[in-house]
Amino acid sequence: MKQTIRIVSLALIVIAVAPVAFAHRYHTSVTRLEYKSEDRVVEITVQTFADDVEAALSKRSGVRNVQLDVDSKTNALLLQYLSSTIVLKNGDDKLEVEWIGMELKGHSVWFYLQAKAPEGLPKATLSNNLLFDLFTDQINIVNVFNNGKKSSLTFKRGDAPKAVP
Amino acid sequence: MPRLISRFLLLAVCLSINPLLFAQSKSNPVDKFRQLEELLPTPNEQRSASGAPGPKYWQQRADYKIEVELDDAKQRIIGSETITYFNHSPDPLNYLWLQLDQNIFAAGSEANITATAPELKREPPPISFDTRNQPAPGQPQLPYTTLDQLLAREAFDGAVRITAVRDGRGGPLRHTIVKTMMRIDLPQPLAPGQSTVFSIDWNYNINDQRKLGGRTGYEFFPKDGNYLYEIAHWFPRMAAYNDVSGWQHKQFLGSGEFTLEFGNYNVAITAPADHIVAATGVLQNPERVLTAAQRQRLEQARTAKEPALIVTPAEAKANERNGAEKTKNSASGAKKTWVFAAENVRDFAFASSRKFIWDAQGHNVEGNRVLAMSFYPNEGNPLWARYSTHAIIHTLNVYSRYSFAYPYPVAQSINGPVGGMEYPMICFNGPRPEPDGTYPARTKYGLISVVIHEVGHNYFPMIVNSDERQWTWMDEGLNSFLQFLAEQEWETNYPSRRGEPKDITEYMLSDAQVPIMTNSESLLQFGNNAYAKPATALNILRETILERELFDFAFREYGRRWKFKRPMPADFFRTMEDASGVDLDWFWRGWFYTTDHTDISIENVRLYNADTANPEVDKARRRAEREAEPETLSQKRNRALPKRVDQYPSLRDFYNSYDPLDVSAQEREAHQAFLAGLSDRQRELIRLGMNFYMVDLKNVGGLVMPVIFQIEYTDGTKEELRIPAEIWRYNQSDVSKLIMTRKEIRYLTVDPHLETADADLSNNYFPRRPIKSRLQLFRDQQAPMNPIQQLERKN
Repeated sequence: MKQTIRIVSLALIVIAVAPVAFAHRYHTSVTRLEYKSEDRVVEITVQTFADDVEAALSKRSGVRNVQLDVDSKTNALLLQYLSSTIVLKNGDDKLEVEWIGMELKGHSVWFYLQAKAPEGLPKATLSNNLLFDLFTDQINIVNVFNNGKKSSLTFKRGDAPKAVP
Repeated sequence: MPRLISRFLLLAVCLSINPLLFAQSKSNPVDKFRQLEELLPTPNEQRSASGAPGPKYWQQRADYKIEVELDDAKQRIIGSETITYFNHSPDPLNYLWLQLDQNIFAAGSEANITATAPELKREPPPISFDTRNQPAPGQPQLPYTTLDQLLAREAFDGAVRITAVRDGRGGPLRHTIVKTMMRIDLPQPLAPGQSTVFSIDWNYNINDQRKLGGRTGYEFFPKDGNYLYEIAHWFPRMAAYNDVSGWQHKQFLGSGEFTLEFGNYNVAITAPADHIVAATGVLQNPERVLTAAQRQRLEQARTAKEPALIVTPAEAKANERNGAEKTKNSASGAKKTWVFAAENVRDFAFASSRKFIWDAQGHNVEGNRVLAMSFYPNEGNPLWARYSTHAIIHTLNVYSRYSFAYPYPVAQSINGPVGGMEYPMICFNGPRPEPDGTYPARTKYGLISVVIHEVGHNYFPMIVNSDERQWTWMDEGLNSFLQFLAEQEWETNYPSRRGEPKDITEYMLSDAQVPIMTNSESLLQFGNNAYAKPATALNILRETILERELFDFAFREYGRRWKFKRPMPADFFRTMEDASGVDLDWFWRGWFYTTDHTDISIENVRLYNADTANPEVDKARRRAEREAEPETLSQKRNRALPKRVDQYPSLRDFYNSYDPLDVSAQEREAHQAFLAGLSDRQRELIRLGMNFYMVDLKNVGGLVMPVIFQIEYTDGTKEELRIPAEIWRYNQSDVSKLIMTRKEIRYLTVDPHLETADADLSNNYFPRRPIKSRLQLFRDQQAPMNPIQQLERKN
């Protein structure tokens, strides 16, 4: 029984750690993942809430109030966070994600990433666990543009990696 | 026109392009212009077909008289209230439901129990700036702060203790607590048109907002030992009873918001004597709780041109000194009772602290004198002094213009632990500068935006009282839309997050959506459906579909009809049509009932020229065309070879010199005869020399939307052609549009001003042109920032 109580409490805490919410009461990200056959690269554009990512980085790093647009150390930290949460694999090989940059507008943030994929994405799987460490209701949408087709994947907490269509 | 076409031979010059299509419509090709009646509730005596309240519209009413004590030493609320409940419904009520929202902080609350467990073991390890101290991958980690919060949660009991429920004569009333709801059984049914009076005593421990979250709570400042309270859903409140849902007594799980009844409030708040208290309503006893100097400053603030201070930063600093001691001694120390009265509000919230700076400015909002006020600790400056009260007044100006004049006497913004939450006449807003007083641009705009948003909620849903728990978009969507308008009137190119159609396209592309008109309990109900998508839809309705004048008239009519009443989605849809005079069923159907997106593609452009029927002109053109044809390689090489007919000229006959493109005498005569048979007007039409461009359009995204063309001619001039969505009424996937012009078209563009949320721009051009993705644009334009540039950006 004691064990149960602890788990219940812990779950509440995970919600409660939610930072200053700036009047948005939902947690979502929309990602565009596009395979460019001419360059043999995967371009990844992630749009989400800047304050949510800052809270995640603060929680992970133990540094109070990480700020995306002022802290020069943030980029490395961010890439670490993004590459540990957004994982693209070709078969068993994890594709190395490069940092291109970041754009802030209001409280939205766009992250730009790319990965080399010389063989394309024939057996690729994707997991997108962005911000699952912070919010139980986080939903990550990924629009995939591959082989001239568009398709969508949705990631909720606890989802296994999904095949890239 | 058809006559001209039938009479003349049209020559096609086909300029073909290869379509590359990414997406298909997500909805079946049903009739997208079919009327909405089958989906909307049937109009009745409560809700008219026009979208206005019906002749027998009714709503309940609850008046509250409350005495509450804020126990600063133990962070508790001890309250006693008398509720007068008016049954305006046609139904007798055997029992009444009240909300005990604070019970979400009870140890066994539904919010706690239904929260799903975190996946500690599967989480990647925390990341660290310090690379020497990286934890082993996969090892479960629990940060100290989380452990601290865990222990705080274990120790906290936030349940509401109901100590008495009595009828009007003081006798006990039977009551049953169902988690965050309480049922009071009435000794006899409350008949229609009757009212009943009862009273409740209660108390609870206030939650530490920083550790436990919530739309209410306290913040503790370890530096000076003081508390700052933002207190909401703190008293047993009447649940709503309405003509559509009956009792709205869905359990409060923390994320849904509120559904409430209007009434008058008289609230006496007892707090430590050195606290400043702000609350819904107007302070009734300033002579008892404010100093003479404060009262004088407040009087001057009413006519001030800039926000004026009632409590200065220095006074707040002095007041907060030795806070730990003051807090500890407050139990036995001096107290003051602040009395507030509020009329026709659906809720009541307050804030209290000895840390508050207080500024105020009187403002005339369309004839209503409003006192705009901000309360914030020194930690909020310099941002709060500069922006909060200005943002309140700006919001009242803009929102009143687009809906109705702000009807309340005060509008307040409080800085405390809650990130952003609205209550009538008062809201809680989180953003603060860094401890050193500097702030990134985002914090500044974050503060202005959140004040606009939360003050704006006074209109939707505090006054236009939609059901927040059921239809979040009706308040968040409408409010986010007006927030965008207000932000864009704050400064040019204000960094708004929602409203611009181009910012929603990636979300709209996704297959994994549900329509906006999905009950909010659906697990797939993404927040975008409550905020960004409806806000963008309304912006498009205003800019592109109805245009500003018609939209603004209709939107104001909605506000005017439903202020201090409770609208449902159909009432909004119907009013916007009723007042604009435009059938918008296709728009509601597409944007609110499907997950289709906008993607209109120029598939093909065909050029036709009118045949002049003049053999001189016609054959000359055909000869030019013939000569323009490329010589084949063999023709070229064979040209110099000696030919037999040159060697023996007698072999030549008529056909060696005959050219079918020569004009014969008979043809000339026939043409003259033809012209003689035409009227002057017909002869003129031929001379015009029009180009007929047939533009083939494909609706790739499924959403029927207006087609906005920009036409660029070879002479460099440009023209815009705006075609309403009804172009799709007979065929919702493929249509052709005829563009007639004497000029020659060089480029055609669909949606040149990015106003329709078209999700794939690569098919918007003729001829097609490569479109750079957001990422490519970023890479091309952005030089990597060095730390100095980053620092400069901070300032």
